[in-house]
Amino acid sequence: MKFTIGVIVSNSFGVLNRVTAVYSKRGCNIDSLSVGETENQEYSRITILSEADDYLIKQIFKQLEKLHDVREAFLFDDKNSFSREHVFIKLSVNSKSKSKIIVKVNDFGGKIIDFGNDFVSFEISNTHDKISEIINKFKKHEILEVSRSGLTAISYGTENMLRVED
Amino acid sequence: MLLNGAQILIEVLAKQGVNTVFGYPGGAVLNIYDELYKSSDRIKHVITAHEQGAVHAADGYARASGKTGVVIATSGPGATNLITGIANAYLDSVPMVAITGNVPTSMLGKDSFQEVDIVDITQSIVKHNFIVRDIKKLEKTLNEAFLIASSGRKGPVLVDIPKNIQAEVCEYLNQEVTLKKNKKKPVKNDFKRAIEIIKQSKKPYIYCGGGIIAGNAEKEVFELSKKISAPIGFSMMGLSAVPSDYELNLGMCGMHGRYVASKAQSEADLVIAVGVRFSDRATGNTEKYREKCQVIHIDIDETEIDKNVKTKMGLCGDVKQILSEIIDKVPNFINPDWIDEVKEYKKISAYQEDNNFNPKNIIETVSNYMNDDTVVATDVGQHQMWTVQHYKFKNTRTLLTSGGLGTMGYGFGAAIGGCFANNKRKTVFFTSDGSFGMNLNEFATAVTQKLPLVIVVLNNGVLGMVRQWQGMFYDKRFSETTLERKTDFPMLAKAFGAKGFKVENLGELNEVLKNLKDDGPCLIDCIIGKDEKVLPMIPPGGSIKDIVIK
Repeated sequence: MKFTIGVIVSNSFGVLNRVTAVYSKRGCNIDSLSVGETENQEYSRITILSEADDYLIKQIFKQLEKLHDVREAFLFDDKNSFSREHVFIKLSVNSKSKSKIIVKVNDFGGKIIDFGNDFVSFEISNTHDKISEIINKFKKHEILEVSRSGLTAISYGTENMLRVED
Repeated sequence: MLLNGAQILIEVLAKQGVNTVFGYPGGAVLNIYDELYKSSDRIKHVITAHEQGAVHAADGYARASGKTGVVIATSGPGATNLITGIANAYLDSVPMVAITGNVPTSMLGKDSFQEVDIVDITQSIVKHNFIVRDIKKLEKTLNEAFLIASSGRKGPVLVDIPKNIQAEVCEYLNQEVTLKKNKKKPVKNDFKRAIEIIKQSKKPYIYCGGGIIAGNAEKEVFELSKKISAPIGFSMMGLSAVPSDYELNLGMCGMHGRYVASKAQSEADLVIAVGVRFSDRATGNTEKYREKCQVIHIDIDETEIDKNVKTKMGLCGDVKQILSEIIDKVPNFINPDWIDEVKEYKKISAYQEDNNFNPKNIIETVSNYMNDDTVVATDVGQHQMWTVQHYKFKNTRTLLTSGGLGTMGYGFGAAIGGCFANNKRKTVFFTSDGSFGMNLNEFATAVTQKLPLVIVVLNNGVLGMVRQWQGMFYDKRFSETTLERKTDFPMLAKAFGAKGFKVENLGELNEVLKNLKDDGPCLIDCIIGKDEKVLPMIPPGGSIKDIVIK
């Protein structure tokens, strides 16, 4: 089962290592990971998408909470949160395919950011699964580069906010 | 007050109540040792023969005293020599602060002489670790290290201090630190439910681990046992918590536990597990474990609840507080049928009463000459199991043994640390020819420090535990377990400046023990048969149904 955990961590050396080690020690592969600063420069926020069974999800969540550098952790799901991933795709194009691709990018709500005679680059924001689907759809063209941001998420409402209260 | 980094370390050690540290000097900790030299009236530094001896000594000191053990080592090989000892402390939740030096910050990351990234190397075997790259953060980091090591589920914390940080100067603030980590709510309103479950039980059993000792809850376990007439079984880590002569103390359960302890646990309808982590050695097959009983798991570490054994309910928090609350609310009751049933199981023993010169009689004989507060250290293997089976423990914190990591070579350092923690009183160290061979260099430390260690070597000329498994599971192919060494242990003891005796019967052993003096270490080489087995044995992954008794 796929699961997404968000953690607020101290902004110090080696934190990312400690967090990812909780997954790797249990043989759990990380599908997506994003890290960013927060409104408080002492803390960063990490969002991790992975896959495991119920037992392992609970273990990983509790082990993350136990880390000294982790201040808060939250288990996101479709019902309690909104998630997004950003992707940059660079495609090889020719005069024939170019216009079709531009239409397709617009259909997916994307935006062209760079182009030349033989290539076009664009960006799209969507859910993790949808981004994977979109990349698949462009596979009939020659994909030159793909760069995904990693998933990030935020809870609905104000009840389950992932923030540090000092 | 302006102080350099090394002076700040000394101030923090003193503030944290540390008066004894173990370690080994070297290039990257010269500044620290210079300050230790000047502060020898405040802090006693014990130099060992090897950093591994020092880290095990800090571990033994912590287990015996309940305080945080401190070890200091230089960069590179000094730091890497600590690794086994740190892992040992981590697996057994021992509070420890390890201080390592490192090359100056300007030289970090350049593969400088004696540079290793010890923070990275130790990450998975510490509760937390730090490298201090800014002198202004040193004081706070060191205080935090002590707080982390000794709070919640205890464990080792490493602080790596580059050489220039030890020399740089900044204001010493004498500051207090608190952990920012959000505290877990202790226990919700689960007590009512726990009390109901306990009240309904006809065959309650208390299963205790090292968390009882770490959480100072020995008295509470004893009281609960009496109040609900529940026998107590232990994982090895919990063994000394309750006097061995208490009638409901069944001793150790698990792979090499006593039959009564394992059998009663399997027949119980309720197991109240306190401060244990259901390790595979103590629990066996975790699926079969719950066939008859339900489990209430009380532990300070929430990650342990439902980790190895699925429980009926978990109570997470301070074990002493939780047990006190249960004792308050649960009514007195007696279960004569259950106690009689347990008494029947007690009659089944793997060992016979005789006067042979065997491990059981050797350990019981040594036990008779010791006091209630004598600290006992062991190495790892058959002798360790025999010790925990047959030694008559009376007081808490008197057993120093490597539980989770199973570190051969742990015992000598641990005995040295335990001896210092117990005001240099007589300390027993049970070992074997295999384990002893690993870190016998610490004889030098014991002699120099004039420590009254009684070193009992159960000498069978083989790596007995591995041999036992080879005999049982590998068709007696004794691969590399017959040592054929010619080491003369009594002579070795003399070479180090200690006394040494070889004994081959109980009479000779009694004679040596009667004449023991407390002026330095003494080795007693006990020659035993190579086919002595540790029994009973529940094979790995098995249950009580698979137990081998004879």
